[in-house]
Amino acid sequence: MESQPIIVQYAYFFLQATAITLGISFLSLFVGSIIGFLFSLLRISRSRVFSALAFVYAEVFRGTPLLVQLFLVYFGLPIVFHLEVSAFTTVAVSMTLYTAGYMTEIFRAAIQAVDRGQWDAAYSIGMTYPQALFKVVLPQAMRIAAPPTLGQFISILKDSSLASIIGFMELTKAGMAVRAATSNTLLAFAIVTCLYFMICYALSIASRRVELQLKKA
Amino acid sequence: MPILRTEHVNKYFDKLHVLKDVSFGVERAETLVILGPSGSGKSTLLRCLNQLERIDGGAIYFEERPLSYERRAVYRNRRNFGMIFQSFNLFPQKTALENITLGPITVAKVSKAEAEREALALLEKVKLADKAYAYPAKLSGGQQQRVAIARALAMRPKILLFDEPTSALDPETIGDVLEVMRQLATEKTTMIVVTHELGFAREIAERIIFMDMGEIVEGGPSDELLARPKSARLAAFLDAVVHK
Repeated sequence: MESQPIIVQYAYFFLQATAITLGISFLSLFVGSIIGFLFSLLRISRSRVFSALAFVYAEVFRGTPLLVQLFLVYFGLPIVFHLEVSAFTTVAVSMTLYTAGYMTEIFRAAIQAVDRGQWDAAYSIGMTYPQALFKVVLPQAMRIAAPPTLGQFISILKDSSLASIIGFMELTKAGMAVRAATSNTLLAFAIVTCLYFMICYALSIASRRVELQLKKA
Repeated sequence: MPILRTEHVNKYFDKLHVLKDVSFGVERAETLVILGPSGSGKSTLLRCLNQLERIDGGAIYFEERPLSYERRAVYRNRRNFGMIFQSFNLFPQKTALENITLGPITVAKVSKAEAEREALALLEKVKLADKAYAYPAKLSGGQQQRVAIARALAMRPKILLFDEPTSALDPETIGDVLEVMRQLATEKTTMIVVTHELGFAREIAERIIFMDMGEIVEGGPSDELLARPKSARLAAFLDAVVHK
């Protein structure tokens, strides 16, 4: 065992951590998109109150560091509500709410990027607001939102490394653990770096493909 | 009895007074043309009729009932009108056929098969039967506009509103669109047409209204109005258009 190179010895450990990083990032993107979508609808609604609510939400979560949000949940909840939260819960909740802030803006921008004439045309054939929104505008908005959504995925995937600070065992924390066990700092983080880059680069290529595909259609 | 009339309609965009005391009526089966320089309020007036814009004063009567701005009443009223836009506004992710059937299926709750049958008949009418499965991006401007006319007709409106239907078209495709409108006029469709096409206006309009700076300057039978404008403003407008 001793003679095995680090990369082989810890291969399973690194893969597991990579899966966790991917999983928590995807989870926060998925749930964050649902929340962001709902907030974007509030944001564009005629109700001043709802619109302001969504605006404030997006601005607060985009306007403060994710790390601070993690701390606030991790250390704040036990103090204020006497609620002990696990590292996983903290990370999942914080990253989801943070992503939701960005997705609110991505969806809002995409909906508003659809030509006003599409609303006019939909209304002119007698559609109601929900019909015009869901049958005509959103299908077009979703295509516009696809590339920035993939960009957001890349962004949150990298930001998830912050979770290591509160001890959540994702990819960066795994690198720290291997470094501690082997004293080989350079190799441990070189592996971590490669893994992040491979995933992000693949996503980046996918994003460009999607963009090209949409341009053609 | 006019099918549609307005009484002292006023409309502001912020401080800009875009419609000033506009009163006019359209008879059933009539083709009314609204002429006027750009910025004269013609398009805004059309958009007020099917309540895409809200008026700030006065009243609009459809079949002698004043239009209500209660949400559901607005949706109901819009079905009395079909609207054709300068920039077509076809749904880009849908085929010509789907553009036409979307309204009947989602709004009028017609079955898909029935809607498609009627849509194909309408495409036949606008001479685009062979383009049923083409996407708007693959169609010329004139073809897109004819699909837009078919889309409006599919809802069986009582009045068709044309908002500068040929202004965005290449000269060679205008003819096909005008041909369809001519056909509609002979079928006694009630139409309100905002256009710059003077020759076409003279040909199909029973009456013309001339608007300038948000108000109706004069109106009357098309031959008379175009041959002997009473106001200096219409005379100047006609002069400018003819000599362009």
